[in-house]
Amino acid sequence: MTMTRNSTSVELRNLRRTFGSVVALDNLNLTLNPGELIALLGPSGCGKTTALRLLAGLDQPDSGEIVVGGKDITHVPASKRNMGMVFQSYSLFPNLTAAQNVAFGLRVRRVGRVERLKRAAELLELVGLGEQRDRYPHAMSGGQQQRVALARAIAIQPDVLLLDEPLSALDAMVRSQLRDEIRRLQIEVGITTLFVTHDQEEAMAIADRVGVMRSGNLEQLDAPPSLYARPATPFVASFVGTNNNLPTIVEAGGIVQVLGRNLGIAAGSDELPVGATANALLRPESVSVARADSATAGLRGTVSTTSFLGSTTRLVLKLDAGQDVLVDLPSTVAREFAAGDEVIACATTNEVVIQHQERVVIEDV
Amino acid sequence: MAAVVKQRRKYHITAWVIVFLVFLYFILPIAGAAQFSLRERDDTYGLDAYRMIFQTPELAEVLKLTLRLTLISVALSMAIMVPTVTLVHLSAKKYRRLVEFVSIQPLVIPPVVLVLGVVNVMPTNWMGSPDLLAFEYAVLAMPFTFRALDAGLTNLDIKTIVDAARGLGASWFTVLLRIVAPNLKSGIFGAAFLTIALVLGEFTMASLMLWNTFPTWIATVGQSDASLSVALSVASLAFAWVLLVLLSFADRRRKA
Amino acid sequence: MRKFRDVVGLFPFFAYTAVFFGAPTVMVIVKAFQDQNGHWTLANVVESVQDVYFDSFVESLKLAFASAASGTIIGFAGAYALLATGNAWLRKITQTAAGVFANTGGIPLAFMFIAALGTYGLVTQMLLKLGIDIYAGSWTLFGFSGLLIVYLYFQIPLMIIVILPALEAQRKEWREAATNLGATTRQYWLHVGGPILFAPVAGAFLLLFANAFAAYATARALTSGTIPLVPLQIGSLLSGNVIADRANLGFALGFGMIVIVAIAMYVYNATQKRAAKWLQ
Repeated sequence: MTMTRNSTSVELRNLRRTFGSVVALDNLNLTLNPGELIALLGPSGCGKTTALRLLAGLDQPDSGEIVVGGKDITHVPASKRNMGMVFQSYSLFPNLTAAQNVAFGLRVRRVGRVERLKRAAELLELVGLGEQRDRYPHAMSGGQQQRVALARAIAIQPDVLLLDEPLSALDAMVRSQLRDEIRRLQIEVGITTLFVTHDQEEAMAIADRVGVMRSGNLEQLDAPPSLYARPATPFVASFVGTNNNLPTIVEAGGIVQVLGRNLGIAAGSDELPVGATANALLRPESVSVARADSATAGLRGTVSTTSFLGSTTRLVLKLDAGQDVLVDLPSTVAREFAAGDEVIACATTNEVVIQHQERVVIEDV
Repeated sequence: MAAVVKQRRKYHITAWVIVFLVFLYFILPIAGAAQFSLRERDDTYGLDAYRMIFQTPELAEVLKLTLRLTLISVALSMAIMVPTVTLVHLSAKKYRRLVEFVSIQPLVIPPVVLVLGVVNVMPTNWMGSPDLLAFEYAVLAMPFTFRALDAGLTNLDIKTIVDAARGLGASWFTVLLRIVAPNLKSGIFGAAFLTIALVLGEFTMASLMLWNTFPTWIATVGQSDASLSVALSVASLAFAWVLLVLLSFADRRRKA
Repeated sequence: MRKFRDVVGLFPFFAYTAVFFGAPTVMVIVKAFQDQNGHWTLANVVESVQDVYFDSFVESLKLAFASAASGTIIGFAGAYALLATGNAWLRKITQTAAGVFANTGGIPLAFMFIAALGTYGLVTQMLLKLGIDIYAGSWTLFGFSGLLIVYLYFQIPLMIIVILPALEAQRKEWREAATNLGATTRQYWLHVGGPILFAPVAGAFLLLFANAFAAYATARALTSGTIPLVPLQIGSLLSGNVIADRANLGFALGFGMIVIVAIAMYVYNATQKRAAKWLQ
C-alpha cells in the first residue's frame, strides 16, 4: 500500500510564546522543506516542545504565523489541521484495541467500519504489529505502544508528522530499533516531519537537518555532519558530540597550537586577534596516541583510564601539563595501552574549531 | 486566539460556580445548626448550650465509655491486623488475596444486620459487657484498616527491604522493630484514625445493644433538650474535623 | 515448617473474624430459614417480602436508588468541577472534608438539617425572605424527599472520594491525541472519555446504593417509623416489637438485606477490577 503523496512545506514565522514572565519561544523562524525530517534538539525548557505544540495547534502563539502548504493555519483549530502526532507516552486510548486506536482518526472522519479496520490492519502490518491487532494497550510493551501510536498518526494521511520525544520513555535497544523504523517509514511515506528530542545521538541519526535550540532560540540549523564539524556557538559545540576543550592561543597566520601541532582555524569564532586566548574543540577521534618512547610530536601524558565501548575504546589521558584529554581509538589499537602507561598525544586533523573562552582576555603575548 | 481564551474562561467560571453550589449545600446545615445552638432562651445569641455540655453529669460517663471503646477498638484492630498484613506481605504471600477478601466482607453486611446476629449468637456474659461493642467495631473497621496497612506495605516493597536487611545480618526481631514498624507508621496512623472516626460516630450497633455511648447519648438528649443535642452534634463534628486534619498532617509529614 | 508458621501466624485473624463476624452472619442466614423451634422453613423468608415488609423493601430500594443516582450525578459534577478549577489547595481540603462528611449521619445530621430546613430552619427563613415558602404545600423534611436530601450529605462526599482518583487518572494525552486526530469534544467523550469512566462511575453508583440501602441511624433519626424501611423494621423487631410466631422474621429481613447489598458490592468489585486493568 503506497502512501506517497505530494509532500507539504511548513513555515514557522516569528513565533513567540511566553508563559507569564518566561519566554518559551523567542521569535522562532523555521522552514521545513517538503518531505524533510527536521529534529529539534535541546535541553528541557529550550522551547522545542512548545514549538511542536504550536504547530499542532494544541497551544496558541502570542504572535507569529504558521504556514502549511502555503496556507496560513495559525488560527485553525487543532482538530482541523490534519497533522499526525506521536506523544512521548500514554497517548493510546486504553479502552480501544490497537486496531481501533489506529482506526480512530478514520472513524472521526466517517470512514466506514470495514474500510477503516482494513486500513488499520494494513498500517499495523507496516509497523510490524499485524498480530497485535486486537490487543489492548495495557497488554503491550512501550515499544509496541509507540508503534501503534505511529500507525495511528499516519492513518489519517496527515500533511505533517509531529513526534514529541517518542523514544524517550523506551529502553535503549528498543529505542534505536524504533528510531530506524520511524525514519524508514517517514522516507517511504514522504511526509514532512518535525521530531523533538533531547538526545543528540537520536537527532543526528535520523534527521535531514537538526535545529539546536536553547532558551527559546534556534542556535543552529544544519545537516548533522555540518553541525558536528562546524558548531556555530559554544552551546551547540558542547551539546553535539563530545569535545575536548583545549586552551590555546591564536598565533599569526590563523594558526593555533594544539597538542603539539599547528592547526588551522576552521571556524567557530569571528576574527580573533593574534594573542587572543581561545578553546580549541578537538574531537576524541581526532587524537592519536603513541608510546612515550617513540619519537613522535605531541604532548606527554599518562593514561588515566580506559573504557571498552565495543568497536572503540575511550582513553582518558592526563597530560603532564595537567589537562585531561579524551581519546577514542579503535579497540584493536587501544589494546596496547593500559592505565598508567606514559604516552604522547597528538592531534590528527589539520584544522580545528576554536571558541572564545568565556571571558576573553586579549593579552599581549 | 481570543475565542479560545474566552471559551476557557467560561469553562473556568462554570467550574467555580458548581464548586460553590456544592459548598453551599454542605455549609448551610452546619450554619443552621450553629445558629440554632447559639440561640438562647431570650432570643439572643450565646454559648449557653455549649456551656451546658460541660454541666451535664452524664457526659463524663458517656465520654469515658466512648473513649474506652475507642482505645480497645484501635488496640484490637492493630493487634490483629498489623501482624496479619505484615505476614501476608512477607512470607505468607499466597494468602494475601484470601485475607483481603475476608477483610472487606464487613462491607457486605449492614451493621443493623450484624447486630441482629450478634445479639442472638453471643453468650450472655459477653453481652453484659460493653467491650463487646469494641470487638465488633474492630470488625466494622477491618476493610479500612486492611486497606491502609496493605497500601502502606505495598508502596514499600517490604519484601525487598527485609531481604536486604536479612542479607546484612539483621535478626527477625530487629527487622520487625526497626524496619517494618517505622515504615508502617503512616499506614498505622491512617488505620487508627479511621477506626477512631468510626467509633465516635457509630450509632446503630450501640443503640440496638442498648449501650450509652456518646452518639447514642446525643440521640437521647435530643428527645429532651434540642439545643444541647445540636450543640453536642456541632462539637462532635468539629472534633471529627480536627481528627482528620491531624491525620492528613501526619500523613504529609511522613511523606516528606 | 514455614507453612505451618504462616498458618499459625494467620490464625488469630481468621479466628477473630470467624467469632465476631462469621458467627453472627451465619446465625442470621441460618435462622432466616428456621422457625423458633429450629425446623427448616421458608415461611419467614416468604413473609419478609409481603405486606408491610414488601413495602419496606420497595421503599428502601427506591431510596437507595434515588440517593445513589443523585449522589452519583452531583458528586461527579462536583469532582469534575473541582479538578477543572486546577486549585491544588482546594483539592486537598476537599479530600479531608469528604472524609468527614461521608461519615456524618444519625442524629447529628438529622438535627443539622432540621436546623436548616425545618419549619424554623435557617434556609427556610432565608427562602421566606425571598418569597418562597417551602412549607406552603404538604412537603415535610421527614418524608421520602426529605430523606433523599439528607442522604446526599454523605452520598456526595462518598462519590467524590471514589471518583476523584479515576478522574485524575485521565491523561491529557488522550484528549490531545483525540483532538489531533480530528475529534470534537463530543466525539472524545463518546468514544474514549465516556467508556473509560463508565466502569468507575457504575462502581461508585453501586457503592452509594449499598451505602444508602444499609443506612439505619439517619433514617431512624428523621422518620421514626413514618416511612417503611427495611433497616428500621429490623431495628424495631430487635427493640422488642416481636410478633408472636414470627420471631425469626427479623432474620429473614436481614437475610434479604445481605443478599441485596452483597450483589451490589460484588458487582462493584468486578467493575473496579476491570477499570484498574485499563488505567494501569
